[in-house]
Amino acid sequence: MLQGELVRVFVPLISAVVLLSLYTEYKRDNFIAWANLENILLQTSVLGIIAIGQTFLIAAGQLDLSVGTFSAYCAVLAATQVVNGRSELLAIVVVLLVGAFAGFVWGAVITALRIPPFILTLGGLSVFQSLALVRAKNSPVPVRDSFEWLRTGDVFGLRTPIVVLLVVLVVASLVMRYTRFGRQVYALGSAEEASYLAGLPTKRTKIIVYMISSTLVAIAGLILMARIGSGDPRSGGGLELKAIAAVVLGGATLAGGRGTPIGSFLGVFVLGVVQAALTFLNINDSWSDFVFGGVLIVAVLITAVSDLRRENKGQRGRLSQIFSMRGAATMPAQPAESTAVQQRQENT
Amino acid sequence: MNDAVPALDLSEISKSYPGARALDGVSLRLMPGEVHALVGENGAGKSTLIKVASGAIQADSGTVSVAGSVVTHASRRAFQALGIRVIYQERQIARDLSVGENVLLDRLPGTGFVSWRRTMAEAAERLAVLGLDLDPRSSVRGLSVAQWQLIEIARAVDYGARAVIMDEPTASLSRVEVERLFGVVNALRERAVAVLYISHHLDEIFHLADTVTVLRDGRQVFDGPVTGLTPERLVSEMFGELSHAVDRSSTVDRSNGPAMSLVDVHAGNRVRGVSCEIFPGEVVGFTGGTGSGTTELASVLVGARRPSAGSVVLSGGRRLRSRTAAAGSVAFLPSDRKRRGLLLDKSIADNLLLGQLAVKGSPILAPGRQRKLATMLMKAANVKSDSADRGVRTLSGGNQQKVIIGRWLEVNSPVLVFDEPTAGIDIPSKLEIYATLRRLASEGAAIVVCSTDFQEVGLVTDRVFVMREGRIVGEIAGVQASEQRLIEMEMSA
Repeated sequence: MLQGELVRVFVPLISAVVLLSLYTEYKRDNFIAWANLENILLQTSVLGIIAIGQTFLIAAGQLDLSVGTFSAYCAVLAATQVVNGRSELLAIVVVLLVGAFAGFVWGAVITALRIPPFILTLGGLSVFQSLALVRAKNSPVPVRDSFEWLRTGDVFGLRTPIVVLLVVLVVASLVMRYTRFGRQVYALGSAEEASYLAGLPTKRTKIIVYMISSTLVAIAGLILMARIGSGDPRSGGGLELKAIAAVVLGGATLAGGRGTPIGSFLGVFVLGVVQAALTFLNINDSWSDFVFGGVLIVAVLITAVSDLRRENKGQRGRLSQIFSMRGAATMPAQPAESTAVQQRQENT
Repeated sequence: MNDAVPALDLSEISKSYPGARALDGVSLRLMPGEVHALVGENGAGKSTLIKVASGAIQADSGTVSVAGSVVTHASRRAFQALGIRVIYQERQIARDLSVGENVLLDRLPGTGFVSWRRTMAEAAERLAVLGLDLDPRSSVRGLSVAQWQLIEIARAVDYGARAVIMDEPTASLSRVEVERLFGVVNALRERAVAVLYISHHLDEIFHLADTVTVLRDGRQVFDGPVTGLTPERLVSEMFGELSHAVDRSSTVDRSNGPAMSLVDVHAGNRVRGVSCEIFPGEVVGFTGGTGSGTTELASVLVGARRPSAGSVVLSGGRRLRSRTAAAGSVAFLPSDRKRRGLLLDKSIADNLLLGQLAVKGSPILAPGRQRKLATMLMKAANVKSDSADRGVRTLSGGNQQKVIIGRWLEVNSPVLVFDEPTAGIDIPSKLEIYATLRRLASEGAAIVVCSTDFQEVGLVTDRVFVMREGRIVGEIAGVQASEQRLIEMEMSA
């Protein structure tokens, strides 16, 4: 599985990074330098952690659109805690607990009521935005000297946010690849009913992936707050779509069953390199989303073409899976889609 | 009839794929008003022949003629325009539209604007010709899969239809629905439409077909009238020599009590008070028509559906709580393997390891050991593929079913429940699956087979419960459960 993933996803992404870097280096010196790489990683640490969390969800056939504004809410929450005289440690614990709890609520509601996560978490996006604004009284809450270690500190010569990102990446990769839980996530995303009938704990798995994602978003919110030096209620906007785009760029399909943390990280990294290259080349930053969107479109097209070829060998294409968006979209359930589920409903 | 022009004439068709010769000089002639059966085990070349006959692919050599004129360029549209229609195994129904719209899906009448009056009138007429009592204005959502299929047939059979190709039309139909389909096929015959009928069920062929073509390994090994042909002859043509015997010599072990007991189990109005005991070493069948409740009972037995009253008790007095909790004690092979049984986009290995994922065990899985286990399970279940890394989608139905059985071989659950274990798969795979069932029973497992296939329960079980409308209406020893006897029991109750 990894070999296929390597060729299909990693090679194109890494080639894109290398080509863009070489071009920028050729035009302007010092692009390929440790300081710049460190800067890119620092810039993308928040999005990277959110995208890795979203990878768990998407691999399980789930989705959370509220992660952007929730990270802002967590940032504001941490800032107000510190401003109100609580210790940094207590603020962190509170934010992480709120994160895990929010994920639990999402997961439990989506599991118990069998609602498509798309609309529910879209509602969450607005709710968290509003909660963040209310709590921050409409303007950023400065934290002054607090969380200095998370802003400028370093561990073994690496900036703290980068270390957090890399630790999250390594742990997430190990969990997804080598644990029973990770394999259950992929099975759930691949075919929920078949997994349930085989006896997999599909409900529990669903709740846990929401908890993992929301907890990681809370961590990302802390870094977001530390890096700006304040809890800014408007800081996380749009991160959810960038995270989903990065996850898909990294080899996942919204239909579920696929996606790796390392792939999502690479997707985020491509975005970071694009942004840095634009800065180096003195191109207006307004173009950055254009370039990132272009990379996403080209990636999807390349996959579509290679899948069309594969389809002729009797395999189903990835593009059709991306668009089928099972569990993620608001399409009405097909009549016989979930017989076991319906049967359980009939009973009640 | 012999001097008439054939509706569809395939002559000396050959087709090769890289590494495989799918068809080798196959000729098939469909006369108007003829029901022509096409049989052969999976991989014999039936699908390729259908594709050539419907213009989906171009043959390497040979000619295809429709109504006397040779068609040189393969395209589905061209063949469609010439009156060749295909009813595929998968239903092609727009679920949000009405019955009438679905009948006339590809050409709604009217110029610019759709004329709903004409749509409904024309649809009603088409349905009536086939003897179908459906309101064209009603929604297709509440209808059964069988009714969807009949709507598709009504869509296919317009005035220009010369030949209708039906690919395994009875695969998901109940006994009553099959009768209805036969009526429709006979109506087509009377209207001088040619029918190419692909089926695994020998009884259907003898009941319905005028002529039969047998394919084996891409070659035509028999082509002739059904009259004078015996089922034994047809089977030996299809598979060469084949033994039909299923060894039923396992011993039931009643010394330690039942492996599973059902105490007055109800499930809504689908299962109404089923009680029985199933012992280690025996294969127990539940059979009946499609609405009889066997599938719902299977869901209850594995914990996927909570009984509305009564209970299912495992050995040692443990009550069955949920599917997840029961994973290690009750293995399950669900009906509808593609949707409910398989991770269709995953590899054979991933699907084989699903049983291990469901039961409790170490939270960390070593990839090397998993690989070895998958390869071992693939061998044990006799799945025919060169590598466990191949997509499970690429396997034949029979091999897919063996994958689902294979995932439970290392779990050693004391009870295994099989729901429609051999629906739509070829006869050699069926016999292999029956042999596996019996072997598991002889190793001490208690096995439940829920099946609407009377022949199947008569062949593989030790005891059969006949169900109707959710109730057990009779019990009979497996060796006495002939198809005839089971039908009598179901009817007379």
